[in-house]
Amino acid sequence: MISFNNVSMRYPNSAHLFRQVSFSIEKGDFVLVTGQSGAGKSTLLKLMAGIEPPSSGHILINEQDISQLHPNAIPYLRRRFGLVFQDHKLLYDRNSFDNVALPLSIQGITGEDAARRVRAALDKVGLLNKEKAMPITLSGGEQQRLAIARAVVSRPSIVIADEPTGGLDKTASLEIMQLLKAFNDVGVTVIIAMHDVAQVSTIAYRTLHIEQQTISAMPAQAGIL
Amino acid sequence: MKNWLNQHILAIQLVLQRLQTHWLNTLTICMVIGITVTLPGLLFVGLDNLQDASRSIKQDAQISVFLKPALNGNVIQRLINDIQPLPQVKEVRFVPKEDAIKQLGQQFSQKDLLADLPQNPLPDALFITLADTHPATAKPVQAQLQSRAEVDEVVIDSVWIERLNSMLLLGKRIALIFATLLGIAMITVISNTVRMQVLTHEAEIEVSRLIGATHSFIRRPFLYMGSAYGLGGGLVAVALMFAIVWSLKQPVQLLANNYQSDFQLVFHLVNIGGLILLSSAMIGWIAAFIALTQKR
Ligand SMILES: Nc1ncnc2c1ncn2[C@@H]1O[C@H](COP(=O)(O)OP(=O)(O)OP(=O)(O)O)[C@@H](O)[C@H]1O
Ligand SMILES: [Mg+2]
Repeated sequence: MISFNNVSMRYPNSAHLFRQVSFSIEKGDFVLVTGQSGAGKSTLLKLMAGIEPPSSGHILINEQDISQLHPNAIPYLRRRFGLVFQDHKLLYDRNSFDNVALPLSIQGITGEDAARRVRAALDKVGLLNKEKAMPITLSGGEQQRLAIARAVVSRPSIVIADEPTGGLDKTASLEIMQLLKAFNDVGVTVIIAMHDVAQVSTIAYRTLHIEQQTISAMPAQAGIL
Repeated sequence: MKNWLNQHILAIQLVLQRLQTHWLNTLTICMVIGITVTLPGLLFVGLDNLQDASRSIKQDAQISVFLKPALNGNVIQRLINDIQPLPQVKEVRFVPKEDAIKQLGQQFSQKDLLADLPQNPLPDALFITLADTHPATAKPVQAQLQSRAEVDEVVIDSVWIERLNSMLLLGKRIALIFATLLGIAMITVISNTVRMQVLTHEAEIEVSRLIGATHSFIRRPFLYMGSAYGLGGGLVAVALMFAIVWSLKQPVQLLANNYQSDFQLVFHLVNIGGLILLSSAMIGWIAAFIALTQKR
């Protein structure tokens, strides 16, 4: 589904984050991207979603090399992903409902059809009663769940979440992880960046660990705890 | 197709909503643009009216056509028959050289002018009264006459009208220059406003781009916004101009009456108003386009 072939990445005027890494993620995988702060977890996710281009190497999504894509095709590539950003990137000038509706309106889905899907997504993350609430009035965990609702509303086949449990306590973190696992259970490929794997409970996952400019893939294992 | 239409409806709804939320801002911009457009607009209306007036001036424009000597009566009649039906021609009068010399004699009160001359030096002539005084009316008739073998010389007796018309042309050119300058001012105002809007929606633009919005999806509301400002300003301008023309109507009519003229001040709402609305909406769109291009 996603494969990296000899991908190297460095931002201009800085050292390599990783060199010549190759791995692949299959459909239905539940993958944790781990590594220290600054190791390049967020960057790896951005490479997958075509937000940053790699310095060299090839990234294939469904056998298609994304560096070969025409710039006009990039937006359509991104629509296949549900993205949860490290800093949420919620829009604070509109309520929860409108935040979740954004990906749909980008795809030209409006009206009743959109409303139904937005409510379904809010329901899945347990925020149906907060559809009129402004994001600023939501707790950290609720904001995180709202961001997940926005990521899944357009029913993407891949959900990429960057530190979705950042700043949350153990209970709230667990809730988030279980929520993401629930999407994985119905076939969605889920890729999560996090530095504290201890938060993951009994969920079976694979890891991609970034350390010293290499990425080591570890096979599926049951979570600790 | 439905999606495509949806996208546009969505953008327009969004724009209307934003305009409404910041209605005071919207109103201010529309007023500024409206007044900016009103000034050259009024100049145009004034010139347009002067031109109408010059067309309806009671004194008819005339063309004098001097014919070659010794033409047969049939030939002359054929020429008259050819000219008469032209739409620009109101009346054709034939004056044979014998009548012409008689008239000349009367003018100089010298009954036997003819007797002193070996032969009549005057040519046969046609006097053509034109349908109106616009130079464009005389030109084709003149051209057609000059191309005829029977015709010796064609003289248009409407020099002063041409002069008036060339002044009007100059006036229009000046108005156009004004309009261009003010159009540039308008572009500056609108593109600046749109740029501010882009800044205030930066978060939304960034997220939208990250989750798969196309370039045109992001630009569309801003382009509509620019057009809306232009259109709003145009509406203000048309309303202002309408009010100003209406308030001047009576005094102008009084003035015209003093000169025995039935001249009336008019504002061609459909022509000029429509042109103003269309061009200001277009200028707004261009301004927004410029703002969005500079942003990158
Ligand atoms: N756009 C950018 N331009 C230049 N350097 C960048 C950019 N984004 C990230 N970096 C640098 O790349 C390195 C990796 O950043 P990244 O955000 O991928 O780390 P991370 O593993 O996600 O860290 P954290 O756990 O703190 O989120 C950092 O040193 C960061 O400063
Ligand atoms: Mg990060």
